[in-house]
Amino acid sequence: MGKQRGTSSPSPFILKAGEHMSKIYPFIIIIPLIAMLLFKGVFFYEYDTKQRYIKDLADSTAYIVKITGVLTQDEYNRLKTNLNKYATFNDNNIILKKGIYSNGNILASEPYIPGTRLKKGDAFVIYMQSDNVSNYSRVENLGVSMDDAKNLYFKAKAVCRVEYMD
Amino acid sequence: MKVIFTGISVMLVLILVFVNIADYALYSSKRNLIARGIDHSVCAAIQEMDLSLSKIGLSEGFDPETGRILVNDIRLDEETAENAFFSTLTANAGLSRNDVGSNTLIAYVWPTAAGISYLIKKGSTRHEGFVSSPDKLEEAINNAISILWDTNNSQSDSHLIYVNGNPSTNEFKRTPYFLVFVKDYQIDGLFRKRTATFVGFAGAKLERRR
Repeated sequence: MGKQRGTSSPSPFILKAGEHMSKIYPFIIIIPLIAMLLFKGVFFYEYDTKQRYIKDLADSTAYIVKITGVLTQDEYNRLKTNLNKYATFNDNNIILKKGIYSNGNILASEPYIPGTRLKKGDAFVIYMQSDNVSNYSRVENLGVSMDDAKNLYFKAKAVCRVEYMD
Repeated sequence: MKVIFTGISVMLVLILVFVNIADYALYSSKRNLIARGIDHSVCAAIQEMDLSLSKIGLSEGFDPETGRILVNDIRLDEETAENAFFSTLTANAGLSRNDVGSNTLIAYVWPTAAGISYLIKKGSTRHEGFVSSPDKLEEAINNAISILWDTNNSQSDSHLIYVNGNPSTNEFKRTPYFLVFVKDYQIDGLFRKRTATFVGFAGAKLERRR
C-alpha cells in the first residue's frame, strides 16, 4: 500500500538549520546594491536627458538672437518657463551678455538686457546654471556636498554672432 | 554559493550596461556640443570680409542687364575669419585652435565673373582652384580632401562631404562661403575613445542698401 517514506535521505525542499542565514545574507547585500545601481542608472538618464533639453534651449535662444538681433522680454520669459520645467532657474541663474568681435576675437563683457536690439556682427552670450543640484549628483554625493565643486548642476552655454541687419 | 554567484553576475551585467550607457552618453553630448559650436562658429566667420580684396566686388552693385545683386569678388579675410571661427568654437565647446587645428580643413569660396574660385587650407597647405558653377564645388572639395588626407585608412571616418544631395536646401549657391571640415576628431567618453567628423558651412548674407 503506498510508498514507504525513507527517513535516511533528507528532503531537498527542507532547509537545514543555518542554510536560511547563508541565503539571506547575500540577498541583504546584493539586492540593495542592484537597487542602488538601478537608481543610479535612472538618475543618470534623467540628468543626461534634462541637460540635453537645457542645452537645446540655450542654442534655440542663441539662434533667435542670431536671426532677429533681439531677445524680447516675452521670449526671455518663455525661456525661463521652459527651463523651469527641468530644474529651478531664477533670473540670476541666467546670464546674458553682449559684445563685439575685434579682429575675429570675441569681446563680450557687457550685460545684455532683454529687448535690446543688437547690430549685425555683434556677439551674444547666454549662460545658464540651475539653482538646484541634480538628483544624480545627490545620489552620487549622498546629498548636497559641502564642497560645491563636487555638485553637478544643469549648465548650458551658447555664443553666437548676430546676422540680422536693420 | 549559487545565490552569491547569480547576484554578482547580475551586478556585473548591470555595471557593464550602466557604464556603457554613460560612456556613449558622454561621447554623444560632447559630439553634439562641438557640432552646435561649429554651426555658430561658421556663421561668425562668414562675416569677416576683407574690404581691400573685396572693394571691386562691393563697388559693382547690380547687374545692369538682369537687375540682380552682384556678389562677385567679395572675399573673406583669412586671418580674422579663422580667429572668429576658433574664438566662437572655444566659447561654445571649449575647443581651441590647437585642439582641432590638425584635423581641420577650411574652404573659402567666392564667386567671380567667370565662375567660382576657392581656396582650401589644411594647416600650412593651400590648395587653390576654380570651378565653372556652384554645383561642381562639392566634387572639387572632395578631391582636395582626398589629396590632403590619407584616404587609405579604412578605419577613419568618411572622406566625403555631401552638400548637393538636396538641391532646394543644401546646394551651394553663387555666394561667398566659409566651409569647415573637421575629420577624425577624437572624443573621450568615460573609458572609450571614439572619433567624429563634422562639416559646417555658412553662406554670406549680402544685401545692397538703397
